Amino acid sequence: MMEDQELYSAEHFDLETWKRILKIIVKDKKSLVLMLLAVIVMTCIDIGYPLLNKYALETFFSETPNFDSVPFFIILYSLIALSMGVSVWAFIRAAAKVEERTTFEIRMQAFKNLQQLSFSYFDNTPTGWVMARMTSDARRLANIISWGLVDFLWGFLLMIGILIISFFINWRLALIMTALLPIFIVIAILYRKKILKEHREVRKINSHITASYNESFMAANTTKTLVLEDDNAQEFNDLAEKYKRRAIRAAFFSSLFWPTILFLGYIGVAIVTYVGGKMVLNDPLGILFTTGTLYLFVDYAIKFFDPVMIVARVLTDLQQAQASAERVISLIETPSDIVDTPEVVEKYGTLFEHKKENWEPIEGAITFDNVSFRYKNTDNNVLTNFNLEIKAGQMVAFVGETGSGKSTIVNLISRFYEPTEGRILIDGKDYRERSISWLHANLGYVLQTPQLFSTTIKENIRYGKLDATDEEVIAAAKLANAHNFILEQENGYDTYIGEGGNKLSTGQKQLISFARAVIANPRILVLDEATSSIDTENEKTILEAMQTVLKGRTSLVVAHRLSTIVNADKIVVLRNGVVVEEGTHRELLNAKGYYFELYRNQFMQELEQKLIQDI
Amino acid sequence: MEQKKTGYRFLGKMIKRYWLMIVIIIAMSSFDSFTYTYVPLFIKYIFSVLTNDGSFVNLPEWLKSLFALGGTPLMIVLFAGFGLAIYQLLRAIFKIVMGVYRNYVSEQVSVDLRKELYNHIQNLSYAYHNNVDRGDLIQRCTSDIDVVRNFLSRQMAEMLSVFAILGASVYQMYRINPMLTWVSLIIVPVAFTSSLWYFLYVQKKFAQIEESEAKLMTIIQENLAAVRVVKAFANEKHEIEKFLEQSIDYSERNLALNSTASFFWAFGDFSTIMQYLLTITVAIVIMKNNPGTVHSSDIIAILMLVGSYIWPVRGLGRIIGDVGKTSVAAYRLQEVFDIKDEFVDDGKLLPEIKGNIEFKNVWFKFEDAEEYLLRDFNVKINAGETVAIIGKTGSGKSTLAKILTRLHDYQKGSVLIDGVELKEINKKHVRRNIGLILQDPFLFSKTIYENIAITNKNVERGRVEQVAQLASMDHDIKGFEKGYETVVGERGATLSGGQKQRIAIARMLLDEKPILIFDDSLSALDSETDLMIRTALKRHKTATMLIITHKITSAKQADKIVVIENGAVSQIGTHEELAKVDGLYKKLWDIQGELEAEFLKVVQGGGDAS
Repeated sequence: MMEDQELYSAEHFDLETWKRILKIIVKDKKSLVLMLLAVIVMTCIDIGYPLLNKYALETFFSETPNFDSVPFFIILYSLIALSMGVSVWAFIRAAAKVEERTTFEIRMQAFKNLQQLSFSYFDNTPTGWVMARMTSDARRLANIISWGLVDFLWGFLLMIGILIISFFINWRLALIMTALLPIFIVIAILYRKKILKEHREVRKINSHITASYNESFMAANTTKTLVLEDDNAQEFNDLAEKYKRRAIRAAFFSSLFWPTILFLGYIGVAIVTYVGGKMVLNDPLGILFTTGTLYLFVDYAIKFFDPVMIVARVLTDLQQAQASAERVISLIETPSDIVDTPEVVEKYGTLFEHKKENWEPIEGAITFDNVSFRYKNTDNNVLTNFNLEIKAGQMVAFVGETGSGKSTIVNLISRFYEPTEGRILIDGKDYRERSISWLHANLGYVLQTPQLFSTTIKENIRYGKLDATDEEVIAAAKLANAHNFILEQENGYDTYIGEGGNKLSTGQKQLISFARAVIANPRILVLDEATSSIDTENEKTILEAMQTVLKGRTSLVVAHRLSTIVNADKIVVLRNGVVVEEGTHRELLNAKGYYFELYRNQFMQELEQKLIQDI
Repeated sequence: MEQKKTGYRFLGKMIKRYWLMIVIIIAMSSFDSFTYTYVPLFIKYIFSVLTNDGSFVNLPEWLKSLFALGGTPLMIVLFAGFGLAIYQLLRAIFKIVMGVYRNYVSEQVSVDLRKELYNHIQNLSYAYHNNVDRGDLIQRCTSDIDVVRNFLSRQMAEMLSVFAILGASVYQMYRINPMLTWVSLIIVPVAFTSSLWYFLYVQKKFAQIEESEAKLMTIIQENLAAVRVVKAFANEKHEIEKFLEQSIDYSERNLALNSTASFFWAFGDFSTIMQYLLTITVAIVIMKNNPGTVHSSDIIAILMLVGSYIWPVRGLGRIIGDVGKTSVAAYRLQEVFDIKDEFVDDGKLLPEIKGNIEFKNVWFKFEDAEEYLLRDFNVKINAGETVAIIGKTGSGKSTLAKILTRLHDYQKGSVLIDGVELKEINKKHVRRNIGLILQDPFLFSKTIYENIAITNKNVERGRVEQVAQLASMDHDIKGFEKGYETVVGERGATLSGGQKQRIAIARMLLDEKPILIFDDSLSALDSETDLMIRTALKRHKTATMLIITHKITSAKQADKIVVIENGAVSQIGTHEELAKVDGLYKKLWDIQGELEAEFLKVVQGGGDAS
């Protein structure tokens, strides 16, 4: 993740990126405007109330005080305090809204796009990368668009405001402050860049330390058996000390920053007092330049470096945020390489809005017509001119080693990928002429590692048919042989199964995923190594469930365990993407070829293992 | 409550350990706060010179006389102005020193705790590591340490220096005008109570918001993990709705918190300005009653002093609000430190080990179990023998390996290694002499070469290749693009289970050990490679070898086969002996022959294979 972030790190401010990101994420213009207005008011007050202090100093505390305007002064001051409160209240509310809305939009749109992206995207994108976009990048962008913008505007307006008022009152003093401005900004930006660089280094070592902890915990038992404790400790100590040195170095640069600015600021204050003092002394009657005016200048000069620093900070943050913006855009705007044509969408609806009334019923006959396929970013075909005929209602099994292409075939049938060349026909028609959802709504899918959601058992089964009644859920569970073990759970069907279903055994999870497939009542059912992660204890239950579930549907079984497919109507034996044998279990055994050998080896192994458990 | 106490106990221990550093930091930041209160006095001095009001300025006399050297008011102002700048320069240098020192302490605490935790955890028992939640443990080693060190190096000092700045400001204001001083302090309880209330509230809300966000993240994670399921059921819309619902929940919680935040900060700014007004108004009243007693320079200085303590006072609320968080983090650290180090109860003997092993009436059960796994277990193994131990899963055969390497300790009976009681021998000495190869070995994210040479980094290259050959792995390694320099676990360099096992075997063979135990560590290998390794070992090694397995083919060639049933030895003998007598071994062996016959029957008979 760290390296990825470096990869995108943009050097220059790119307006185009920001235009795009703003278009994507700024939906709540009202709050944005309100936020900016509130900041403007607040800045005016920040500039304004020292003027009141100046007035007080000149009127009430001069050598000839005049108390006539005291009530008026108190009322005005209170009003200023009140409007300060109101504007702070308004800008925080509005900025929070903008921030929330931005995070919300980024996450929502990214999530929505993720739903329609095809498999090739997920093959090449680690989950961690996506998560980082949804969390740290989303937050950083939302932050800069809300609080960053507020800070920048406040700092900028305060700077400008102070300068303008200064020019009106005394242009010479104002000029001095203007001259200091670029010096401050340059120093601030240079410093921040240096500090950011240092901190990046520190973070890098820090992530090594975390990794080192992780490795140490994973290796704990191996460490013990090899007596590596002292070596490990030495290695870790070196790393921790290296971190300490780097961190202290970075801290040194950070510690330098504020005191330097403080000192420079007070040089400004010193100049202001001298020049201003001279004017005060030259104007003993206090006509043009009074001590109050000087106070105002000193106050402004002390306040002046605060907004300058903030502006510099936002500017450097902006650069980091730009990298975030680019990554977020790439996530939101990546097009899917499997999409329905406009004509198909017109007739059948989109992924999110189905036009079910136009959907033809599906029989389940599948034909591979000269299909060639290769995965994105690879050179070699997994399948070349592949032809296969599957009749509706048939059970077809695919057998072969890892990499033989058996999983690719079912992925192509499921339209998780599309053929690079050739066509796949469903009921005699190229499946690209109908919508993705049409196919998927008629597809059931059971995976090797059952993927469940962290909700109740009932909701997990219902995932196959969202509008299913409780009775339907129970019926499906019974069909899948899951009913009994579900009733044994603490809360029956309403048992919460934990994250990823980790409160259940793999076998139990698999039974639930069978029930989920059953409730969808699909015409085509894909079992992708669905039985290979099951222990022998659950095997029988699952095999029984499988028989019921497969009945009356076109079913495609990718099998590692050959014992599960002896009843298939057709077994397709694959080697390097080529069909080497094809036929029923019996036919293939009689042929005494590749399948025979595979089956023999497995049979022996399985039986041996089972026997030793049974004895 | 108990938890809080434990947390404070840990913090107390830490404060005691770093007390000098902490005291220095507190002293420095108090001093820094104190020096700030002179800044408004410089300004006041300048103004009193300009207005010639003759009021008293609490600056050192020598300084004032130094400024007076300027002669004319303008030059005095110039001197004072640059005096202020130089004063700030000195303060800046002090601040830098303080910042560096504070960070040094912070890093020192962190590096100490990290090392201690690392060493402590690595020395916790085998049983602990088998059940621990690693993610949680990492959290303790990283963020919990950060919270604690922040408290020690920063928050404690900030908390106490608030009193310093308050005290110093009051002192300076008092020297200017006592009445105005009391009036200007009204903001203090107001700012403190409101911020304490607010930050306690925030903390509570924050926990809920984090929980809501965690749920949101789970939805994304599960969606990504189950992308096939989502697509296969055409449930994209449902997923979006689910995500939308949780997103809204998260947003609303955040907005609710921010709504409170907006009131808090608005009130804060409002009350600050009102405090200024109050101070000025009271000053006006004083001025009206006793003209000439309040000078504009007084007002300027007092307003600046008030501004200097409002923020720290508000920050105090935050720090106190955070103490709860710190005590939780401290508790979590103490909890780990409270778990017993396995080397605390260690034997002292370092006998020479030749390889004779004897179990005499050994009883063993897991700590949390009620029933004994080994009951009155007896077996004698002579040096140099190859012994196979066979039994069902859960029969306790793996436990023997853990007992011999002192990963688990037996409760009753005795285990003798060359006649010495095992519990009397130093644990590390035992493990250096008894090599245990686990079924699921861990390889470090280093090169294959470094992994094999891990117990002896300076070993000759030839030796590494030699042991790799013994483990039938040399050929595989040379087949990799980078050979021995292949980094384990790097993209594209994933090793199969069998390859990992073989590297683990090679790594254990590097040092000559009198006893080697293979705990199902040949399980991922095909029978051919399995046999090859065993024959090679037999030819080259004189070590006592224990092969724990559930594969009868792996056991067959052993000098002695030990069959375990119900926690005790049920049979001992060679293959030839055991294959003849009735018992588990014969049953297993007979099955092997039957399997082939049965397969042929299946092939010829019907399709029923199950």
